Amino acid sequence: MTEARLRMPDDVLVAEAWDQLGAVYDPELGVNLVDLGLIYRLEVDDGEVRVTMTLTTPGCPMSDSMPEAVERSLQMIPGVKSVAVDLVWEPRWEPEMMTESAKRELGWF
Amino acid sequence: MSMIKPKRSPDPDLPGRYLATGLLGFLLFALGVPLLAPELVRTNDDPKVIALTHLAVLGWITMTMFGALYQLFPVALQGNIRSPRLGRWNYWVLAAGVAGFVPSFYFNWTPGVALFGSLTVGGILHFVSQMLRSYPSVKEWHPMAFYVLAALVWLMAAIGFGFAYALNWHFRWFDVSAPMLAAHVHLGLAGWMGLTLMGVTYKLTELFSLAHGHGRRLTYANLAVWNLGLLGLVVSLLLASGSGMVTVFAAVLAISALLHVLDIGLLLRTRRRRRLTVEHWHTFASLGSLLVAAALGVALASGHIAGRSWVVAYGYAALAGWFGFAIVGKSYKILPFLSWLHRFSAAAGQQPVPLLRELVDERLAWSSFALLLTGFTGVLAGLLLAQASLVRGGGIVYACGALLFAVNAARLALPLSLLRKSALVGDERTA
Repeated sequence: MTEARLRMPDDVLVAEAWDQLGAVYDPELGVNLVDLGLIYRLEVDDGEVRVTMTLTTPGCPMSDSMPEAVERSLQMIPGVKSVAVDLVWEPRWEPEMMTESAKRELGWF
Repeated sequence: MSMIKPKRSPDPDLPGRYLATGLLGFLLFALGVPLLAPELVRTNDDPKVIALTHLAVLGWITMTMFGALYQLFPVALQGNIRSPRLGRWNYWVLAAGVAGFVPSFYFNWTPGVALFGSLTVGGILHFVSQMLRSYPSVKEWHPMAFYVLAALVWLMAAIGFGFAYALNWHFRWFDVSAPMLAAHVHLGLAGWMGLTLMGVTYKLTELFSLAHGHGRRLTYANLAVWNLGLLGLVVSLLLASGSGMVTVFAAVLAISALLHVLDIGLLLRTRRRRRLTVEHWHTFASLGSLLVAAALGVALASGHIAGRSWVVAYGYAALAGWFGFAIVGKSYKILPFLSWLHRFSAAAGQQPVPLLRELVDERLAWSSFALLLTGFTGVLAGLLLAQASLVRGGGIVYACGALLFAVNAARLALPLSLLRKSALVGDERTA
């Protein structure tokens, strides 16, 4: 890994992080977390990533494993120094937060 | 924006051991029905029929419900199980109790009924204590929390009656009348198992169907109606079994059952996952069986029965129908989740892991459902018509369905390479 790669600008890291999260799937719904609208905020400051996310319901059986999966996936990005994941329940997730493609996947259309 | 630290799910071995034992109990029950067809048609108080009933109630349904609650309580209600370690130890007490209790009934060995009955009661009381002490930590007061809480109270009453009858089976202190037995049966059936299943059904239907926006007024109102109906029924059976009050309260419970079916239907109308899965069809069969059982219950309470086998038909509709279809259907969600959590969650986010639905063989699940439904209908018809051959034939078909379900459940333990090819081939998903 080159030094230049390790000093990747934060805005590039943000784009890579969104891409990476787009490949993390809810194993029950079969839709990625970004399209489900579960990622509320993603910030990068000097290689330190902070994600604010929710789940479809506070009683979600994946309340342990999904934040851990998010953390693991972001740590794989070269240049990321640390990852912090905050799981929040406010505002509550609503189905309308899903993208059109997620709605289609779940049979809305 | 409030931040809530996620709860740790229990290690899968805690719910897993109860669920695995429940699966074994289910298979034995399914095999027992065709083997005991002549006894089932003849009477409801044969020791072998009582043994089969307790195998279903304790060895299958209660074991499964204990496992499901150990799994769901921390995640669905966001509470902490007070002592998972004691829960593991208590499994052995309960398993040993049930393993001795059921054969003792079967062989009419009265000391065994008293001894192993005591062990079983000890195991159940520990579970109730564990749950009640865990309740103060609940953060998500979903209707399921209230349904299960009420169910635990009824469970204590059910085993109180049951323990007294089990000891009396050996010591013969008093005569146990049919209404007294009916009170015990309904405390367990409608109180413990019924309310637990209803509560869990609300939560899992919301979760897995992605149902949003369903009002909870009817859900809570019906909880009150069901409990009042059950209380009235039990008191009537014990104090005024010859009066019409038994029929009145049986009708109240039947109306409440109808309201529950209506409520689940309304909940499902708000689902965002539109496709109906095999799990949904098990739910429909379960709810349909509940209505059949409720109608038979009113007929029995009002004396409109054609023979003793109708009493067995009533119990069978509830146990194999209402609870059976629900447990099998929900297992297609709960078991893959447990397996996924245990085998794949540590890799999620880093490498491709399968989806939950890819862990279940859907064709096998549909085949199992078709056999279970056909077999169930055959057994029920055989009991209503008092035809042992029909009960035996239906029972064999039902047992084949149970076996296919067990095969599907056992597949979850297979290496990933042997699971369905579609699980990972060409798949870029990382969780």
